[in-house]
Amino acid sequence: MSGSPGIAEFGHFALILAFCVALVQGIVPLAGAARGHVPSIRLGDHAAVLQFLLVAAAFAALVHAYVTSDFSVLNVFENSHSKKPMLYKVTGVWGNHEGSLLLWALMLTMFGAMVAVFGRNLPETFRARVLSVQGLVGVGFIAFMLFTSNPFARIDPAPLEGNGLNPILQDPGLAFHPPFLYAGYVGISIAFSFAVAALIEGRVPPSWARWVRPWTLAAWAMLTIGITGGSYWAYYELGWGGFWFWDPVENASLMPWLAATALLHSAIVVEKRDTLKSWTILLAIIAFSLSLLGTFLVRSGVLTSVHAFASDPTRGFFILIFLLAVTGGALALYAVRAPALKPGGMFQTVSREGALVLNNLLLATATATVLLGTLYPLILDALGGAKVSVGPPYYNSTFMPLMVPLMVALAIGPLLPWKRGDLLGVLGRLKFIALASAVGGLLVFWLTVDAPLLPVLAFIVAFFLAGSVVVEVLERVQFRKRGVPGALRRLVALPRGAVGMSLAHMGLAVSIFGIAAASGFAEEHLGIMKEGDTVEIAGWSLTFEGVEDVPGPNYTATRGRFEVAGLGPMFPETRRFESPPMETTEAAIHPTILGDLYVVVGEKTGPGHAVRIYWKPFVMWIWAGGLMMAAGGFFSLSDRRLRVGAPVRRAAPRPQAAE
Amino acid sequence: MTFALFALLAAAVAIVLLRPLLKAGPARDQAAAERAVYRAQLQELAAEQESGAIAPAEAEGARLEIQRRLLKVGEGAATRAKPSLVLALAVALGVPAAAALIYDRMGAGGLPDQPLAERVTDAGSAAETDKLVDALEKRLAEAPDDPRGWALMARVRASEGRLIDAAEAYEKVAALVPQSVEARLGAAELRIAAAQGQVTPEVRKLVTEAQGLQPDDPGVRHFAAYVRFADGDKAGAAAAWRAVLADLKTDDPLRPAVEAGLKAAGEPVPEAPGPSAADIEAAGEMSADDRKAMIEGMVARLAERLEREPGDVDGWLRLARAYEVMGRGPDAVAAWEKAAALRPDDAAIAEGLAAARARFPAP
Repeated sequence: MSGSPGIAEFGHFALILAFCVALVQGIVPLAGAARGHVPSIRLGDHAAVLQFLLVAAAFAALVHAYVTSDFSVLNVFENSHSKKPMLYKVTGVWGNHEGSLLLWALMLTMFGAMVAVFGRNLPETFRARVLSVQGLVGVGFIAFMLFTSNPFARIDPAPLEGNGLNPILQDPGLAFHPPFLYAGYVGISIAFSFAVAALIEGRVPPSWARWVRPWTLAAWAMLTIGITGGSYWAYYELGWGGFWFWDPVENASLMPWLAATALLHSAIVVEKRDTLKSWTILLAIIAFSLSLLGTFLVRSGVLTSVHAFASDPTRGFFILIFLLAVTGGALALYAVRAPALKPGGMFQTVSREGALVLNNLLLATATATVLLGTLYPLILDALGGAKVSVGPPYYNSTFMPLMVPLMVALAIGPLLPWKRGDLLGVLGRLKFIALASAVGGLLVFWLTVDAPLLPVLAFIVAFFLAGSVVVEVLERVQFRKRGVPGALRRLVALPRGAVGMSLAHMGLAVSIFGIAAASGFAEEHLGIMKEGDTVEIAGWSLTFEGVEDVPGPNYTATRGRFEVAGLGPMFPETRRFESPPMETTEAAIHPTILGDLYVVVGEKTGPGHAVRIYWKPFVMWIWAGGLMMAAGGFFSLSDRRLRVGAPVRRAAPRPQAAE
Repeated sequence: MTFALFALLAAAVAIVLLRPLLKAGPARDQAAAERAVYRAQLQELAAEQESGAIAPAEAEGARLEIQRRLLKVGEGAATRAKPSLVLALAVALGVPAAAALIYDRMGAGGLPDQPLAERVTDAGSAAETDKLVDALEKRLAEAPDDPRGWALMARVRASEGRLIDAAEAYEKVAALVPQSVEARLGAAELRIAAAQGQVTPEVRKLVTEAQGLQPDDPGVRHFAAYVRFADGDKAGAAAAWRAVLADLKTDDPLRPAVEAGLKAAGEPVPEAPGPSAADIEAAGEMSADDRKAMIEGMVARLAERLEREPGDVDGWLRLARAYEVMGRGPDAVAAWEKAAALRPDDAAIAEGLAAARARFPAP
């Protein structure tokens, strides 16, 4: 050994230490819980916090290497460049396979540490088991990193310059939505650990559902933000005005989201009615397995191309083993223990529980259709078959039809009481809403001459859902009985969980409305425009005033200028990057509540430039709805009831003294 | 940063893990947490009933259900609270020992950080070039009419991978030296590379200008053929390329490009050592690793050929530039030296050798 080791080596050592601590965390508390050994049980908390701090140190070391352009770190050399703006040096840390794994591990251990710190309301033994399972997942992850994808591999002597980051990733939107997605994916690991711990204990009490709820909610809300951000990024960066492309990257985030949504709802039944336990546990296992699948399949790019898989078989082999161990192990445990989970309360088909079961069935089926559509081409490709792509036609005919009954169940469910409900009664309460929605839909159909059918149907469903949320809230605050002031007072006093639910359901209605409007009623102008040409679209009048070259920090932009009557100029750009050579489009977007004007300028073609102009009605509503859903999740999370069971410190300063 | 810090970190980890293992303490009531949830549920139920959100009869049913849950909560399992010394020792010693062992196998020992900034002030290779580039930029800002400066700048930019900037530098040369065909062809080649093989209007203009200056120059004819090819005139381009090929010596550096063109046009090529157009096209779709492998293969083939034909000056020059781009400093210097030995009077080669030596100082 020569010289003194640098920060990068320190990070490497910290990561190795984290691996060893994860091993201890995965074994000792689990064994301690089985043998009733208190010191071993309590080791879990300490190990979880330690593991987080060690991975955080490793992550900080990698960020340091990126910021200082230390090309002696192979990962930095391959994915960074000294002339890159500082922001993208930092975000470039997770813009690649090894770095994204490290971010994953950071989130994983962060959630573990949070359970150790904030999970004081959990029974000690149960918490120890949860942390042990979390530790075992950590062992797998860090081992994958250290032994097949080490972010701290070095090259000596260091090359002069790095290879650069894919320019399409050099965008604030893409820089920041992956951390949310990861937080969501990884947050679901907590639900998984809770489920496996409960299986090990052999019982799922209703309190389990309440304990797991805040973690699932937090993960779900993060995932919602991540998906919303990803969709918005695709909208403005890819330059086609689309907001969802059903490509594997998007599906990989949608599948865990659907499963987590189902989990969130079935856990309510467990908490309220002490039943549906076995299914809920299964959902938690599936949701996390889908997160893992998503991470490996797509984010790391290991399996997307058969090429990469063949070039590094150790990685692929490790992933298969790891997936098999996590999913297979948990399912095997489930097969052994699930029959012992006795269901509690009974309920009739038409009841709140029944609606939630229907919601779960539909969500699970939807997840399965997306899974099939995502995996089928990959499997076919891996087996040497033809290259196929499964696109919107598949999803329009499988996924979409499932959404319609789901929305209807979603509109009716919250109005049904627990145990047994009166469907006709509820329909009676909703009859005006239903009528208004149908009339609204027909009005749209009549006003827009050749409206496609699916969006019109979606409009009706969105109106119906929104209306039923309003009815549900009005009934909850007893608007008819108490009038405006009384109802307002009750609204403020409502449990936050209920408000969160209404907000999230309303958000979904808003999103569906936006999706229907933007995909069914968009207007577009594609063509070549010469200087001075004018285009009329959706009441806007755009005049093309030519292009000019504008230098950027690490690219040159061709900037077009469009004069929009009554609005001013718009400047879409095409950016040419040098290292690596690549072009990206920056659409000029004028967002309004009623729709977006979206302008893209392309390459010079003959006498003019290729130009794409879109009018996307109500497209912002899609993401506004997504954010409303996430806000609903966070609102629910702040519900006082979720903190029940936390030690009341003033009343019982030493937790041991309780009871 | 020293190994002492590593040891300190490992020791801190061991101590934190030891604390709970060595501390005896009575087990907490396992069931209390569960009962707390059900009591809270009862309170919520009462609140809901009071506010009228739930009917009294239904509330009574729910209350019974929750009370049944409360009764079902068992007592916490009996637990041992005594610390286990063996376990504590195993964990406290095992974790640092295992980490040290793994690090010894995998870590890069005492390798210090090598941040770019430090390497630049280190008067190392990067510093030299950076300083030279800075000086060149400054000189060109003061005397923008120096065609040799711009030509040098073009080469520097090209070696940095800033193709458009390099092409613009060549265009400055062309503006200052109106009869320079070389500058125009250099700019055209870079612009084509930057546009991934496409013929942009700038390229068209450059080639037309060059044609006006020296229509018989093989390089000019090659690029003219390329433009025809890009316009869809495959047969015309192929015929032009064949004619160029007939006028070229076997070791002319232009030869591979012409042959690649012929191949792309679907014509047979007499003998082809360079990358084919299909290769180039494939390179566009390859991953970074594959592309690197392909380039390395091409360079290796060139080096092999030069072993057999060591008198090929242009071959050595190409090899030297390739090594420079790949960052293989000593190899680049060696290739420059071979070229310089073959043509000791060539000032450009001497200059290139000196630059390579400055950029890649002998270890």
